[in-house]
Amino acid sequence: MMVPAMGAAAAGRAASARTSAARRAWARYRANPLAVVGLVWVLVFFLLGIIGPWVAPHGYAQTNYLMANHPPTWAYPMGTDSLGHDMFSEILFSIRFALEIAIFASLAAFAVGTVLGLWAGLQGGWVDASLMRIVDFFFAFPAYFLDLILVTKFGRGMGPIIFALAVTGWAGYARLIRGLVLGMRDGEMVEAARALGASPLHVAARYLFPNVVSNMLIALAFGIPGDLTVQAALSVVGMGLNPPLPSFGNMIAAAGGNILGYPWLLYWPAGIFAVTLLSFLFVADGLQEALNPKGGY
Amino acid sequence: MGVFRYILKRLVSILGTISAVLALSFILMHYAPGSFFSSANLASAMGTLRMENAHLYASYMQMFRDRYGLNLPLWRQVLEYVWHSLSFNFGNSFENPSVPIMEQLRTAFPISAGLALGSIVLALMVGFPLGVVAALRRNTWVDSVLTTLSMAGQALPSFVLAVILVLVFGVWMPGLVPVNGWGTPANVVLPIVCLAAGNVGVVTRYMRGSLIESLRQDYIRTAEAKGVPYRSVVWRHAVRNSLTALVTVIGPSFAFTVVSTVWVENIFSIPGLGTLLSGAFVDDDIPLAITSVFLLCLMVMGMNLLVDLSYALMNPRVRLE
Amino acid sequence: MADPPLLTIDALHTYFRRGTETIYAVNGVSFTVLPGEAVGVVGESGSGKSVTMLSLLGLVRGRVTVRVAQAQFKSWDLTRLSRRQLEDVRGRDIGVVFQDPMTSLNPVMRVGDQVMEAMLAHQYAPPQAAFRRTLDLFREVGIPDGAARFRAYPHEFSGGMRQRIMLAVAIACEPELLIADEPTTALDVTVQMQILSVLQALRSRRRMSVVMITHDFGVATNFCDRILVLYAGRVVESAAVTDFLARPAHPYTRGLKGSILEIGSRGRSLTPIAGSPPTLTAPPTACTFAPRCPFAVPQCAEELPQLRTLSAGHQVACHRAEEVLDHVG
Repeated sequence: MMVPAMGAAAAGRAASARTSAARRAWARYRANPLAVVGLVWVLVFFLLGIIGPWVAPHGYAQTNYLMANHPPTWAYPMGTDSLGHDMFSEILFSIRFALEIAIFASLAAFAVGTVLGLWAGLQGGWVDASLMRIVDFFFAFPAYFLDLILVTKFGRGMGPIIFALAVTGWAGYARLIRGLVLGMRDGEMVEAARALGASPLHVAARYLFPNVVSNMLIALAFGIPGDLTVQAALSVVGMGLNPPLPSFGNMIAAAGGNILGYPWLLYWPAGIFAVTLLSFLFVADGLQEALNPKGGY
Repeated sequence: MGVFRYILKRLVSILGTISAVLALSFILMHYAPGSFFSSANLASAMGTLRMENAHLYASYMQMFRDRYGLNLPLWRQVLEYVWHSLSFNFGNSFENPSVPIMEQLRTAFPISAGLALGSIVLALMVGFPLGVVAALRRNTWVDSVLTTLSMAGQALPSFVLAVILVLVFGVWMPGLVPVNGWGTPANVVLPIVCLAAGNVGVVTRYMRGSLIESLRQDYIRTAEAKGVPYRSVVWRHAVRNSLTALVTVIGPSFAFTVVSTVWVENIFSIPGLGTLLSGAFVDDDIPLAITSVFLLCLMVMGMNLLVDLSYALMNPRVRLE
Repeated sequence: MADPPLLTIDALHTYFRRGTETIYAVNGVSFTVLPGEAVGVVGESGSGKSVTMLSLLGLVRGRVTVRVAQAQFKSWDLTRLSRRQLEDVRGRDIGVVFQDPMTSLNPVMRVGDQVMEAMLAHQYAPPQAAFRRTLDLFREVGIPDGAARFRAYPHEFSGGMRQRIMLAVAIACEPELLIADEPTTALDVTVQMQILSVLQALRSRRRMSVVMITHDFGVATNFCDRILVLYAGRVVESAAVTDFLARPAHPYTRGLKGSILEIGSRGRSLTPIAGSPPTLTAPPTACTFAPRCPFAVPQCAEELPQLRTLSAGHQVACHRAEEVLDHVG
């Protein structure tokens, strides 16, 4: 047998091939200025999410009725809202909570979707058929409405919102990974490698894994801003994160009503939220072009 | 397969999905903490009425009890609820028990459907030429600007754009167009622009990519070799081929557009389904909430069916199945 | 011959810009096509044979530069035509058939309309007449039941049938010159023969000149009167078919002859010589075939061989043509 004898060498080659592919992808990514700018802001956003609660000058629930609806001052650099919350602190905490919700919801959806997608793709038969029926069901109507119903039932805390987003989010990942598994299982490269006597594990590590990782990375890069959007959108109809927990959705929706009197309540929340979503899209787009230059649009 | 059998099959599948959505919603609500459909919960939803007019309250309670069969086993309740909804017999809402839900929908539904459809049409009318321009001037500054703008349109959810527009036209340049309310033609402007923006981005990017791809095809060279003028080559051959798949791009966008309508209506205070829906959710008015969701989902699925049919019409290679 | 040539090309150069590189695809090709003559342009892929013909008509994609001393077609100087005038010539006076019939027809346009479009674009016939003529053309290229098939789409036809439709498109306006760019390469062997015989019939019926671009030596020698062999964007040998078969004077041509037995076989039948033609990123200054050539001497690596006449109608670009002719093999 050839494979055991050259196992170590082949593994080394595979590893170096992977790093050089990653390097090429990074070079392609860097060539896209929007993607780089987006990545910088996304990293700043994550950083603010981590350190925000320590940096914030005020607590998110701390009110000062004497200073309600006050324009920006030294003590309140972004002004205060109708309850006298410091907008700067509100924003810092919002970043933290928004990221917690988006990341946990995406990861949960990602994990469930990956497991079910792998199961469907590898098992085939009735498992595949019935799982895909369920996936189709989730794609047949706007998931946002199911989110609304779930939040109505389970409440408007962090946990229920994460749960709702995960429930409606897993189907996309499942469909993606099932497609990848089916495509790779019957792909020429895999067939050739198998014909040469490579073990299934080797095939999976060498061919399936890198392809799946890059595709899932792209999916996550689209998924996280999607979850940011939906959790904010819940606030727009009044079903978002329960006050006093601050959130971009609540700030934007509240400011929308107060805009004629106190426009500064809108500048920062809407600005940061918009820039963040744009950055995520640039990153996702850049990743798509860098990792998957042929596919997508 | 014949077109009619195809449509029939799709209708059955829509019916199945929508029934599942209804049943799922009903069951979820049934087991909500404090169970919405239990008499106790109804009582709290109409608490004030009970104080003010005990007689009227009792008659409403009887109406809801009959309506939802609250004494029946759950599976019968679900079946009855789904059946009532599918036959567009929605009953009355908790919040407004004297008015049938159908009455409220009669004015709200056309507003939402009109906004959604209008924004799609607008998006096509704007995005299509922009995409063609971007493709024909690819890799120039015109292309970069258009591509970046359309990405921005796609990235920003309509509610963010809506508040930005309110800021611009309410605070910075007041008086140009109304930023609130409904009833005059001018009220339509900002909401429909918000709703269209995302789809303009989708259509522009799709048309650009697809047209560049089409122009690379062998049949374009054939048309050029025939001596067809370049303008006709672009429009009759390349654009025509790109158009066939444009409807498939609009399909998924439609679901998003309908959801966006809900948000935009709330921000611009438009008395459509979306405002009705958010009010119902906030007030725990479950019949109205589920009914609005039901209608919005129906709108999305009906549109998707139309999209698939028109795709098959435009593309001779597609067989319906 | 008394007739003036239909097409005269002198010193054609075509360059591509690819990134920062310049690819020298065609490096000084000269030839003529007489009225009614069938000329075969033979070479491996990458030899510049398609680019030679298509760059004249402005049908080459990418950042391309064409330089030519003379490009005379009938009374027109092709280099001086505006884009509009060139559009008029294409399809009306010069028809083109491409390699892959599966992708060369517009998938969402009825085939009849695609044939009619050529006539309508040139005001060759009013719509009614163009429609009737389309049916005649279908009959001529061997598409049965043309009236019913007029409204069909390309995907409803086999590859061979689609190539017949391409032929109908190309000859719709009765062009005097037909450029056939590997018209049979993508087809099965039996279908290749059918297409070639249709082409042959069309040609003899109309006294149409044909330039047949092919890498299939057998197709070229069966179909053509005269053959040009291209290598790395230069003509290395030009001769009547009889001379060609009897006395090939270029080592490359000799190598190609090996493939004649494989007439009609698909794929890369034309590489009996080890190696492949170079992609030139600088203009050639020596014989580009020398690295693969069994006859090569030091001179070949230093001096670019020019096309010279061996006998009437037989030209070759090789320093050692005489030795090649003397060599028994």
